[in-house]
Amino acid sequence: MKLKKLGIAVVTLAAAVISVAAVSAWSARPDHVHSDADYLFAHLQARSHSQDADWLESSLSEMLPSHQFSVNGGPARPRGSGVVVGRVTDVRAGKGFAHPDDAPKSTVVDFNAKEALWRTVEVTVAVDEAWGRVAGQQAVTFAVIIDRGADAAKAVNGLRTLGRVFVSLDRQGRFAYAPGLYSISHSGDLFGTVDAQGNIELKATEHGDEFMKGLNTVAQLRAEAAKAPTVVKVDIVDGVGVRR
Amino acid sequence: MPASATNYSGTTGATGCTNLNEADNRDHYFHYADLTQAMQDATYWARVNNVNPTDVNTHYDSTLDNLTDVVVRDRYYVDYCGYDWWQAGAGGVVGLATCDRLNSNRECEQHTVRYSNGFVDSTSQANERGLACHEVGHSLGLAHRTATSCMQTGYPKPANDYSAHDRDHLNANY
Repeated sequence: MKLKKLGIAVVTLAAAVISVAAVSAWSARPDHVHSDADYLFAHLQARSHSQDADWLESSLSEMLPSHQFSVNGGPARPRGSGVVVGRVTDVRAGKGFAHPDDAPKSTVVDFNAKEALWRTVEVTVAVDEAWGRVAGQQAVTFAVIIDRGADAAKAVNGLRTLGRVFVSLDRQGRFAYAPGLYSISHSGDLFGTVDAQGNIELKATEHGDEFMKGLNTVAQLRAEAAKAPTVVKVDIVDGVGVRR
Repeated sequence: MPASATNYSGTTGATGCTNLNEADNRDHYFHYADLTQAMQDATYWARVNNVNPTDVNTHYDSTLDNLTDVVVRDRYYVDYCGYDWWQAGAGGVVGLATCDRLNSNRECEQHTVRYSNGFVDSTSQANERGLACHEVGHSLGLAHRTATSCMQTGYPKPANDYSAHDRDHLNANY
């Protein structure tokens, strides 16, 4: 049985938390959202909230090919495969993935298999603009990951309604069953929408505004990508990237 | 007030690869499942120095059963739950807290905390403690913060402890 304290201080704090939560990101969690797109992004944000990660890149501009990373004195390379703005043209179920006996690496199963702990949904986007290795491609297909606890039908339908999207692509080969399928950078975080005015919103990630660091529109993205390459030198110290 | 100020999940009913759910009681029993000595030490340190000073009481649980509140594991995770786990020179996910089972009130009856052995092998004792503080905080319903707290993402942590705000959440809810 849950033991809770009673008292004015508790009641006051609880009231404050409830009132602020009403206008915060928590209001978008799956129990309280309305559209399928809201449900999708609430789920992706919940996934984002669940993990603690350390990445070399600290801003959206660093996902562009105008920023290259030299790690421990190695050759300078852009991180990831590229950045894409485009329109969703196809969404389909991919595969399910199980981890029997808490295996660190997944086993591929059917999308709807009972033992699937997480699933890929494959999203194809007709490219409006792209930067990096995917520049010049007319279409790209990437995986959005949803987990066992999510309503897959709502998530898939949510993806179908998105229209214009922003995505930072990590790499191909992440999913052995479909070698050409891209993964999304930062474990799926760097994915969002683009409105009619070209405003980008990183809806899949918590604190998306902080990561964007003022790079808020497609026009700004275009200008940033056109800059001469900057090399970011990083040494790995205690397993963590430290900038020189 | 920034959104990160509301970093307590409350009861969400979340299970699977997400963790946004509070624990079902204030007595938090930890079972270590083949945990490396380094992360046993770090988890113990976090329990004693971060959690026990709050109104939550942690205990060691030698038997994994339905009464266990937190199962703690570490492996060389590759894609567990679909995340990109830490790799040398690239970074990635270093820890994950998931809710595995709900009670009738949709609170979390049992969480699992997972640490990346790849990261743990490479990093300092301070970062191991920050990792344990962070994931144990998730198992109590604390979410990420951008303020000074071990609940901030990334390394090194700005502090290997909860903030006063984090502790207020724990004391108010347990």
